Amino acid sequence: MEKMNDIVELSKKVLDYAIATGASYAEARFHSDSHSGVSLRNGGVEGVMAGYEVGMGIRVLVNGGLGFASTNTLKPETVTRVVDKAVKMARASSHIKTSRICFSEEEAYSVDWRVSEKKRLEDWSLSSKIDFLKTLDKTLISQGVNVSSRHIGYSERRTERVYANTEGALVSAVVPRPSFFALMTVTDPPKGIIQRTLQFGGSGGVEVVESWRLEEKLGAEVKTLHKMLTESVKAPEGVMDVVVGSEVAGIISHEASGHPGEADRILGREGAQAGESYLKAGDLNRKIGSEAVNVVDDPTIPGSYGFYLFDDEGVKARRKYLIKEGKICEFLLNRETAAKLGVKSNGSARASRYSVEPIVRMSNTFILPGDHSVEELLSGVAKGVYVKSFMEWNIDDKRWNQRYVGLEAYLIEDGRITTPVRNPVIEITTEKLFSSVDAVGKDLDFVAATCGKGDPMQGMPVYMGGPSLRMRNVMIRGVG
Amino acid sequence: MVELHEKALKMLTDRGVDEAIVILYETEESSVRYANNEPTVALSENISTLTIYSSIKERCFIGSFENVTENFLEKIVDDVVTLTKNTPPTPFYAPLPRGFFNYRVGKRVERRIRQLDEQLVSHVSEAVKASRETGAERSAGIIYSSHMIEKLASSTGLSLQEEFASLTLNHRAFASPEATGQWVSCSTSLEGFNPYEAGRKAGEIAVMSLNPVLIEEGAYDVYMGPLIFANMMSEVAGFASGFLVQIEMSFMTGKMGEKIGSEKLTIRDDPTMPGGLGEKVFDDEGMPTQRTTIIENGVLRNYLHNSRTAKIAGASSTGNAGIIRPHPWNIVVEPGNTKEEDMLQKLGKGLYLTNSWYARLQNYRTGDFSTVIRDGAFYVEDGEIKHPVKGGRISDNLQRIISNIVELSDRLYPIKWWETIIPTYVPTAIIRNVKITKAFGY
Repeated sequence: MEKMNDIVELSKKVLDYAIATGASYAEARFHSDSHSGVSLRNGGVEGVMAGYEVGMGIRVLVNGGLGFASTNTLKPETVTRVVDKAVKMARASSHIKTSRICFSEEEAYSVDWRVSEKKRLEDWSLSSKIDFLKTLDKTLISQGVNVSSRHIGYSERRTERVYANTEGALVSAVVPRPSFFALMTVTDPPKGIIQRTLQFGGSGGVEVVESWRLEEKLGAEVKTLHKMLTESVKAPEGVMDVVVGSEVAGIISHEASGHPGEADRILGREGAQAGESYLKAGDLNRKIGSEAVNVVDDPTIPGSYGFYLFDDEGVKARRKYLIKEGKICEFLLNRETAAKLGVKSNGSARASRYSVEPIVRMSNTFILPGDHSVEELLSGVAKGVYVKSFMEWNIDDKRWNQRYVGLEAYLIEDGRITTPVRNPVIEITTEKLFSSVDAVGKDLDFVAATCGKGDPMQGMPVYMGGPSLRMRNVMIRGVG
Repeated sequence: MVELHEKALKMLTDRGVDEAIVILYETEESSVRYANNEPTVALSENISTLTIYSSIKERCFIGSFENVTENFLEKIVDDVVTLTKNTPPTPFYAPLPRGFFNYRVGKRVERRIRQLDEQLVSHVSEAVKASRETGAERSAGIIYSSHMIEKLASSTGLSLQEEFASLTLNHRAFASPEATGQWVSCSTSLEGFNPYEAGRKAGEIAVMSLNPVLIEEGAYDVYMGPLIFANMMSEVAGFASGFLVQIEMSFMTGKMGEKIGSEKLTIRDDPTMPGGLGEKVFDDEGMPTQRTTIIENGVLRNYLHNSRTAKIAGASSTGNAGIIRPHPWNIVVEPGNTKEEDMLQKLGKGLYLTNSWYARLQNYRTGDFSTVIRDGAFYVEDGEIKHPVKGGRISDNLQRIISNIVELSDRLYPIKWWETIIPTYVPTAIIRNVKITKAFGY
């Protein structure tokens, strides 16, 4: 393990060397992840996993070209060779550029922040973790339901970062993150097979894991799956009112508001992979939905999976309003995109590991709650569908054309939830979706997820969330 | 001089582990990302990673470690041994393979790929120029040059080394915000790498896609170009992993020997392909890799196994370890007899789709899924492209898709990009009766 003073010293050498070799700006980001995990398949331990990823990523601006290089051999002579490479590559790319990359001016913070653990993860023994998973597995098989395949796992990751740049910023951070996954298959011939994948995650200690109430949730989930498999009828088809649960609201906020609000996509920088956006640089204040729709991205929520206080460019994190009362309000920005748009960064630069550049990312993206109870949302629906959870989903690369296929879903008749329905499909454009929302619940909840973006791919811990939403006159279809 | 992985192996066996495999990966990779016709960032990484598998009395540990110095190695080995001892025995344990193995020799590696760095920038210029010449106004993409050395030492007496080098370019051209085309160039040799051609093809598709018409929902016969067909086939071949089959996360579970696809379809994992992007001599357990037929003329013939999944299945390892999860190395779909230029004529009426993304499943056992149609998509009548279409999605079932393949072209394309992570060699294909949906609200 590396010592903090050594890292700061090495970072300073790197920055001085980068400037001496022609960079106009440089930053060094030490990033280590120590992680461990254990998983159970149908009650049997598969094995224990652990690892340590550590290294330094160095980013430089040379003649308006941007270079990034990384190494995990943290010796001064190796790191300076890496700087040489970053400078060389940045210079080479600057030769064919007609525009120069620059960064927005930001305050240079010198700060150390860390997530505290009420009950430290490292004090939670391996045998206790295995007992914990075995208890959960017993819960899955004691519900009177044939769970023909069960795959569950717990893992934890401790991330330590030291960020320094040539403008004087020095930000260090420590974030422990526990997480849990479950894959469940419920079989009931001749009705068939139904499956569910679940992910939980947060920042903090064992108290975060306890807050998930996994035993209760997994038991209920298995019973629900069985009910959906054995009792559901064909989903109704046609234009009708729909109430979606928090889980569905969460993915909507992430896919239809968060991703298209990333300024690097808006400016074309992700064009070949994650794609661009239905939003253009001049679309602030564009109406995209009803006044009931408010979406924010907020990294500062304590205990959240996407928690941070300073981003990977040393910029202070804050809540961003992506959609306010149905209008596009703010984009997610890093220093490069902020400079292009003539504004300040709002602290949305994240890098998943030392070997990748920081890019614009979400943190905890969610639809703000309103003041309706779920019962009130339902009571306003004469005939419709309640979609509480989903499995299949996707969206086009401009984030306009999306599909969510319900897993736990019911008919709504005269304001009440009645018969389970099988896989109702919501396939809708973003504007139609947000414009159809006429009432928002107060039952805000979050789901942990790993968001994918970038090339090389960067998996990033995030929360997606929201309350239940009521949508008027939406097309519902069945699968097949 | 004793290398790090050999030292780690000796320390582990000295401390009493029953079995161990230590692999050292030394990776050098350079890349240039570009957008709006210009480089956005040039990237490079120089990374070494030590992975360790150990077992003591059927208790198993798997891990990976970086920046491993002499002192740190002592601590790692102590931790590994402690964790291995403290883990309960796993019912999925299988002994490491032992025996006298014959490894393929003569693998050719293009070492010049290591030195390209600045040349990558000029390759970007070539691709951008080619797209512009077709009339596509903007381009975005990424070019990678990758070099890796893998060194394996095991308690079963193996000491192996393999080298890899490849060049990949993923290029997307924009003739308007909604008229896009994508193409790739992937090669293990400098001669086989053609960024200009990728830029030209992407540009041509983009220009053909100008002024698209909103797609009509329904069942279509579909002609799939190499990118979209590779996306589909890599998904399908991935589901042959014995691990996914055994945890019921595959539509192939329980179907060994059954006809699950069209007679036209034969898919293999072929890491023995000389010059293949996924050419591989040994797997993560040190087993020699082999050519394995997954689906032959539509019949499911083999799952892909490591020692663990093979033991559970009562089968033999196919040399596809991943210690926990076996996976394909180099997917190859056997080509058909139809010339590619005749494929549209064979289609007659339907859709010509060039790309897709975001395939997501509702149910892995049944294979119900959807994927978004992306980049050039065209309505075809009488074997001719009539007009571009937009806003569509394939909403169908993977087994139904592979059952409805009626025609495969006679040429293979190597594909590896963001959506197709495992190298996949595919022809183009005609698939009957594919369900296409579109979003409400257009």
